[in-house]
Amino acid sequence: MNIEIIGKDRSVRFDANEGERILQAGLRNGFALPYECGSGTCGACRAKLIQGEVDDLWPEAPGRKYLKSGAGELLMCQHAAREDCVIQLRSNLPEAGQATPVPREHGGILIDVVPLTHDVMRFSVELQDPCSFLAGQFMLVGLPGLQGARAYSMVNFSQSAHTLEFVIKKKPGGGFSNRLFGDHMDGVPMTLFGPLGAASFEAGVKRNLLCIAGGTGIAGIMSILAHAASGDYLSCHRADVFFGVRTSRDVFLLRELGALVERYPESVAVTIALSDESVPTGLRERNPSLRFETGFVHEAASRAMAGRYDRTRAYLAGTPLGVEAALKMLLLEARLSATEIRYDKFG
Amino acid sequence: MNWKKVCAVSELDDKSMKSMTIDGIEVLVIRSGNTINVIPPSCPHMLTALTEGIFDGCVLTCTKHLWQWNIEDGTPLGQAEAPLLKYETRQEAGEVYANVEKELSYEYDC
Ligand SMILES: Cc1cc2nc3c(=O)[nH]c(=O)nc-3n(C[C@H](O)[C@H](O)[C@H](O)COP(=O)(O)OP(=O)(O)OC[C@H]3O[C@@H](n4cnc5c(N)ncnc54)[C@H](O)[C@@H]3O)c2cc1C
Ligand code: FES
Ligand code: FES
Repeated sequence: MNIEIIGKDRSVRFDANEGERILQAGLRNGFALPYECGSGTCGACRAKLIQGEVDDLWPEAPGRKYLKSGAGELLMCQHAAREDCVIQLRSNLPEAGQATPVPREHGGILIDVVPLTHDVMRFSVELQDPCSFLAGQFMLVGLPGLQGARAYSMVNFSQSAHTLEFVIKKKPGGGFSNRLFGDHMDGVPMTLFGPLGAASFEAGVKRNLLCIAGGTGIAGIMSILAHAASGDYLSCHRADVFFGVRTSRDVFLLRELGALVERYPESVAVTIALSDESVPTGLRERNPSLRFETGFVHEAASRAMAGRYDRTRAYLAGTPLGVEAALKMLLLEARLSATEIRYDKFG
Repeated sequence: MNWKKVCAVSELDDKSMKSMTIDGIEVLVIRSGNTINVIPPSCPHMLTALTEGIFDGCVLTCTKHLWQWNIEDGTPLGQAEAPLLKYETRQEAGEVYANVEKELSYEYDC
């Protein structure tokens, strides 16, 4: 089936397979299209069907709430073409980034499922073929027998990865996360589509890094830090990392973060913000390279960063509310330019 | 022409925004200094409510995907691809009036 996507500035055409999500068909063909979550929640892939018939693969998608009813609108990430289609965007067609790897489908098996806290697991996927991605990008991950795919940010970084690492938080009643927290998951086959996402880091940005993450939002930040630490980036630029969780029961990856500070004591600082608890005794002593504070993570960042936003690129990740609070702080207080902010809203 | 009273300038704090309905049309009223702008309440990009945006007195930012505009003339800044539409306004004796003859909105084909 032939799909034509009309942006405000230009159009593109590509072929889509039967049942294939229109967004994924376009991306796989090397075209950039508007999207954020790729998984039916955010509404960023909203467009208007001008011609042709489509199938709605997830009529309950939360992202549908952004569509005007009766206006022929659809979510490109949740619709597949039944015949040749013409689709119109509300914006220009984005430019395909030179360095951005073209997303495609990957197969792999689940390995190394390890609990990190009472409700966070780490897991890896051993890929059939190596995959390149930019630090900070994510994959759409599917499990056999589970409807739809979930977006998970890679934690590790490698120019050509044979294994992808993820951290996942258990969501009450959540399809994917609860399966992962069950027994006998090692060796289960997985399908992935990606890499996706624009909250990515390349050494060419030449900025100091300000990373503000809530909960598993730290995933993509770890990948960014791993990439920066793999070259000499952190010898010439700073990285200030703010990692927010509720209580000391919810902290994870502290050893990895501490090791980074020990390696770059002059240029890397990591603050853990506990929103619901004052810092308990022993936590600082056990993690002498890390700073601990009580309060929301964007407030901790605001206090520590005041007057230090020179040549800074900010990366934000976490719940939509957490990301919006950090955005507000950076735009209003820090007066950081919006073009220097990259974010992923989880959900 | 359909000039309707919006509010008194003094009703709004400086650098603030307020949603209002004028003659059945929803608008966002924005004050910067002694200038009041009256605009459609939604973002030209994906129609997100701009009341949830960030206004610093000069630049309006939609927090959904960070499109920004100079409020003075509505010109797009940064990643924004389209200007803000504005209702014609005038002030008389501290009161603001807007011409809401036709509802302004952002369609696919504009
Ligand atoms: C860019 C991005 C990166 C993310 N990275 C992480 C991360 O690193 N770690 C982490 O813990 N969480 C991450 N999330 C959140 C994650 O994608 C899941 O929403 C979360 O793990 C809950 O999944 P669940 O299956 O347990 O819950 P569920 O409520 O079962 O599902 C949640 C999501 O799965 C998708 N989904 C559910 N049903 C269907 C269906 N029938 N058809 C199609 N899609 C469906 C939707 O996207 C839905 O929002 C990220 C989200 C985004 C948008
Ligand atoms: S990209 Fe389709 S809803 Fe988010
Ligand atoms: S909806 Fe406002 S920037 Fe996208």
